Amino acid sequence: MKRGTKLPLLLLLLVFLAGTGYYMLQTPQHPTKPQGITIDSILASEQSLRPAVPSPEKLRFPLDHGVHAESSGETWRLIGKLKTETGKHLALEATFVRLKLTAGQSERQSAWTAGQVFLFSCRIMAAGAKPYSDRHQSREALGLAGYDSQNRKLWVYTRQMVFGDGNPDQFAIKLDVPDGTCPLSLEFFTSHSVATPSSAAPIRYYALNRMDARGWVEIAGHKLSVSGQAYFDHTWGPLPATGGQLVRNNFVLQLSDGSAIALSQSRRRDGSGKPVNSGFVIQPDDNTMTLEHDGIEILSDAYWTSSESGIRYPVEWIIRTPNRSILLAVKPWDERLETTDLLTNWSGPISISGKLGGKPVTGFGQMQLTGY
Amino acid sequence: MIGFTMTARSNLWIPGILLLTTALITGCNQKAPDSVAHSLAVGPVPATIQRPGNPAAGYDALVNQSYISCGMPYSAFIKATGPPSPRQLLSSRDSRNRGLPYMLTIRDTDDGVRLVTSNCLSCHAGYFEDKLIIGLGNEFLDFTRDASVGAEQLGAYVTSKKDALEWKKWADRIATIAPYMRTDTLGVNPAVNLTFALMAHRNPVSLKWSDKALIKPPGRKPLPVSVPPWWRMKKKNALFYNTEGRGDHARIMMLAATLCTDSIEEARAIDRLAIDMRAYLASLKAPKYPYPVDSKLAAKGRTLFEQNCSFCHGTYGNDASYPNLVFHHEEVGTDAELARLLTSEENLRFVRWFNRSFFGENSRGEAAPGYIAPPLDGVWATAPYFHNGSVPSMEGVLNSEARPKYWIPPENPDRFNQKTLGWYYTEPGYGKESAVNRGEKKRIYDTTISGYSNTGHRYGDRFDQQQRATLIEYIKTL
Repeated sequence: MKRGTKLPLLLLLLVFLAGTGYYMLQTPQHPTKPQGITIDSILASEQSLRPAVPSPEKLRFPLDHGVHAESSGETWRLIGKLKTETGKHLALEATFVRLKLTAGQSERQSAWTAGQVFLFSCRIMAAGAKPYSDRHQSREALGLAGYDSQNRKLWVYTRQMVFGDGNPDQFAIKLDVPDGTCPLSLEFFTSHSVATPSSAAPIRYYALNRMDARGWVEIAGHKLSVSGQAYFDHTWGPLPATGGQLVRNNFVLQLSDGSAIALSQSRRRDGSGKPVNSGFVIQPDDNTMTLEHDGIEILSDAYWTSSESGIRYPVEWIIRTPNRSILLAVKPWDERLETTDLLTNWSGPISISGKLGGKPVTGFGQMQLTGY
Repeated sequence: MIGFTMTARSNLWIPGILLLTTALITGCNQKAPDSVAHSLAVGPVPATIQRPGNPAAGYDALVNQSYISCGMPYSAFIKATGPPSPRQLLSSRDSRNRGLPYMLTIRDTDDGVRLVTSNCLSCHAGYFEDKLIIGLGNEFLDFTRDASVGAEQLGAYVTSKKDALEWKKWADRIATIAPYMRTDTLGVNPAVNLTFALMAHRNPVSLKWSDKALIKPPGRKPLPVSVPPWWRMKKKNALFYNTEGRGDHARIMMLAATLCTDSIEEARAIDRLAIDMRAYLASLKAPKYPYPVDSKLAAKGRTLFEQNCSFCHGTYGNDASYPNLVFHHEEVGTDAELARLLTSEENLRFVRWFNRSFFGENSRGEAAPGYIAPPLDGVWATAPYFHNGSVPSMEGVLNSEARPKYWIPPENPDRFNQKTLGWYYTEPGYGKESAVNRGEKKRIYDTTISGYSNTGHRYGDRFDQQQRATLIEYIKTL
């Protein structure tokens, strides 16, 4: 396994959303009210965000695929663009979230007690079509959810994500959703490097770009063989789930030249101050390059207003560097992807077109608009 | 004196304390508001009687009292940061502050908000290998990033309305000054430029802050400064490399709090602390060299030193003396940009600001067109050398041929080179323009850039290698 270039601390706020449970706290369509997970419980969990002990500086695999119990929050996310045998494109987003509900370990010795909750959410959609979503959450108690370090298995009920054995030449992930509204079984693997942020930060992050994906998904009773490419990221640390004073716009862009760009823009909810940007590029050769605040411009280009919440979301964007070495237009597959059940957010797949280093590129990605 | 709060290992930056770099001529409350001038004088700097203070109270103020009144809401700070490293903790702090990294201090506002504020130790405490030394300039800070990013992003952890008000005040200040404090090289300090930026946004009479600049702000390319050790203060008649800090040192040091000192009343309260803090700084002694010293070689070096170096840098030991001499930049030959800037007509607006301000009541600035030859107590611990930190070792100070044109400092002061008296560094063989990426570009100290040159002070070139070795051995004893 090669180790990607370490990224500096500035991108941490990219991280805190790039893989957070925002998506988990919503369901794009057919929402099912989450049971037991409320804004109050999230706020309560934020009272103890500081990890009790710092994580080791260097990532170790497969160990770091698993749970970091010292951290208050943790997410595992797969974003992929899949193609059916008939050539139809599907967007996939699957996320596991772990939230610590108490500051310390529960002292009660009972199988019913647990200090943390696991959530799973999955969505598959074609451009302009109805999304198919699956969502479950459970406390860790009674083996209903958790992480099995021996088998490297993360699960919520029957939904599970299993990580490879740490083969240094290849990262592998298997995702299984055996039932529900969008059953699937997908394998992801890559021999590319892992991209890591700075190791000294309280929020830790790594990403795997250009994972090959293959398997099947079942939509409306039709089982479809699919293949494609995906981006995986894993985040842990003091994740500010409610967003505090900030509106945040987050993007993961997978581009046709093999590169990926992860970006975050934060601005104050009250409109004061100036937005700040951060992010990084995973280049085709797997090296990573930090994008600093003044090194990237993220400009809203078109809006969509939700009839339900009345919120006006910036759903189309221009992303560019001052020297135009990056010049990309971002458009949603479907602008009607607001959720209002727990936290009101917008989240969904995006298509990308533009130029990178003067050469035309296209791409696929995911956008989250939170705090509006 | 100066400071910035920047947790070297976190993603938050909090500028704090500042250098006075203006020049002005004032009497004690009897000056004409706009009478300004630069000192064209070089030579001896006259002594000024300082207000007496209590060193012990000064230490307490330094590490336990908050003299910068805006900062991060504690509730957000505690969520956003990891636990401090044990070596960042000072056992001598009070119970409120003991759990914070040494460069941060608790402040409780009248509205009941607990803040984490920066203190002087951000810049004025540094590690020598594994030991934290209060007063040692921190030459490993990173001012190459946009400080406003971390300040804004902290808002993700701010929830209550009261906290939000405090966070916005602090983040707004950071956003205002961030463009002026961003260096292009790791380790160098932008204090001069930052001070000017703060002056530009504050009314000198009322000290009221203005988001809009009230006078033309400085440029956005800070000249690099190396942070001098505090223990020199007891010997120096004026503060700063260009001796612009003349008169009452405590009042000059107070510019440290300019980020948030929004009224004369608040300034007077800080002044009461500053008197004792100055006394504490003047009581500091240089650390002792932690490794063996060849006393015979050092004795030879002492003779050579006193014959060749003492005229400018003074004598050490039982009959120590220090002449407080300023030399014209053309004479000493070190990078002239800072001296030129501080004595330029362009810079007079900042002189006027200081002249009219609370800080100028008992103090005056007389920036000389050159640099003071500093006292050399503990100089072995203070690499890199020269006012701009352009020479990474004492060997280079004594031999201009040994100065690297391009060099990359280490990330931490962990490996000290006992032979050259400096931190082990690497030489990439090329400058910033040829750096392979932006990260390397920031790490390269490029002496071909204006303000960063390593010229001058070639007085050691006359010595042979053996003579320099004796000098280095003697310098270890200072």
